[in-house]
Amino acid sequence: MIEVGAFEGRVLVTARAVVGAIPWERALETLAAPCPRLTRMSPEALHLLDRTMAIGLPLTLARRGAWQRDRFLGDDGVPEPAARRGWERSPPPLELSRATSTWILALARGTPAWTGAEPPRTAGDELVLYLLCDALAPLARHVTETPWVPQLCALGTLAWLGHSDVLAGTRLSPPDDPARWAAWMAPPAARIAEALQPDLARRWVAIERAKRDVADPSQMVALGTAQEAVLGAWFDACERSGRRDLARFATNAAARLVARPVPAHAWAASLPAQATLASRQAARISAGAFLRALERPARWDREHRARRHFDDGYAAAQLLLRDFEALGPARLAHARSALAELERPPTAHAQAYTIGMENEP
Amino acid sequence: MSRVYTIAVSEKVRRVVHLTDQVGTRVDWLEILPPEEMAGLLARELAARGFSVADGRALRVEPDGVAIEVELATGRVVLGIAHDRAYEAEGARTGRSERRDDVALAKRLDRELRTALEDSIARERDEDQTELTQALEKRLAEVQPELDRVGTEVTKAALVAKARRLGEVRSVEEDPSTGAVRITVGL
Repeated sequence: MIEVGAFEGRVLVTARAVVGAIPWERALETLAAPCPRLTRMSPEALHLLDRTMAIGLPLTLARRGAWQRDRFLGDDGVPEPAARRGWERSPPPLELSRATSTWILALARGTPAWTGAEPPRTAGDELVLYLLCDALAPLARHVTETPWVPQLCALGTLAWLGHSDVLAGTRLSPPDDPARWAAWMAPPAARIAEALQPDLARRWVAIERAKRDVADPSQMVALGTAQEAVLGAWFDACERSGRRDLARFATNAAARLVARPVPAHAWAASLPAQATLASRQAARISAGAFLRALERPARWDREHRARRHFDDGYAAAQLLLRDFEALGPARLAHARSALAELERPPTAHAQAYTIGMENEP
Repeated sequence: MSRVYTIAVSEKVRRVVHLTDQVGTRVDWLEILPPEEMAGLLARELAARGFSVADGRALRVEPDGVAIEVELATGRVVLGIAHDRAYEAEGARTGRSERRDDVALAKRLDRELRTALEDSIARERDEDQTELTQALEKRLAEVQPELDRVGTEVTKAALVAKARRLGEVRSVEEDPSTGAVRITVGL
């Protein structure tokens, strides 16, 4: 039994919330109490923090998708022989740098003592920022003055990939260094990207469905711009590295969104009819950012279909063809039709629709 | 016994606001001929409809001030409207003070009055902006069918031009109910 001080307790509660061991709402009840003046950590408490992260991160990865049997391209570009669970592959790299403990301590202190964010240094740090994005909504409910938390999350590429909706609100831009995006394609960081595919698909479905409630045209434009940048950077990285299978989340999300023909209003139902036509049109075009991005996987699919059985990479192409089947030509046509409608000049007549979904997890 | 002074401020605010709105649409056609020839056919069709063509663009200004600009090479159309409006608002505020030279009260009254006047101008401006947008929206609804017809005419003209290169065009028949065009060519 290790006894910890009041501040150390706050740190551990925060860490447990980050890895999903307890809900953020519960952690924030603890953090709502005044922070003790002594904010130092004993070696024992630091050890407990390390243990919490070391056990919690693989667990949360497993919960978020690594439990599913899935088949990816191996590190040599050849498809895995059979579908496997995440932990049956080589273990993901979950080393954390000093930056992670700095963030968790800052959160536990609860004060916006933010004098310059320490950027993520490892794939594990990036994963922590991704998970921290889940805290942004409860944080916004409990604490109003915490703009530094979304700003911190906006430092992570993975956080942008999964949470472009909340991070677009920071008015910051996604990281534009291609090397940072490419890092996810190479082993061993790719293990995290593989494990998170179902979670990313779930997030993109949620982001797209929430667009119908966006009433501020400038917010929609910010979101669309961020999505375009994020998906562009991710798809570029997938293409250059030959890991197109890591874009599976996008086609899976699209397959759920456009399972049936969906009118454009499902993406832009709340845009105000009294706003200027220029702002409404810009917002509608931005609302279609995700649908527009699907043209890249569609082009890949055409390339994969043209790969003959005696060509190099035939086996990989077959796996990628199966990936695209989730979307398929019929659903892609629904997406294109909705996009064409969004790109047409707006009219004042709005109707309420919901985006149809199948197999919602 | 203290005396009560009435402090009065009056203010007049004048603002000139540039109200603007625009919307993009396009003329669609089938790429039957090379792009520069299609652009030429589009220019001809638009000129016949009152557009002035220059520097790869066609422009027509409607009586309500909506300018329709077509990029000939791409078929991109921008409908834009802009007005400069002058707004004026004036008012007065009074307050009571025990001091004749109560600067703080005068400043507060002035601040409140300015805010009220600016708000009133902002409301008027928003109403005018809405009106402007509605006018543009109405014009868009009228222009879009015309642009669709332009696209159809350009496609038809391109088909006839293409047919002429194949042989002698004997007849061009159009079914007005469906818009279908039948071109008979003698080879």
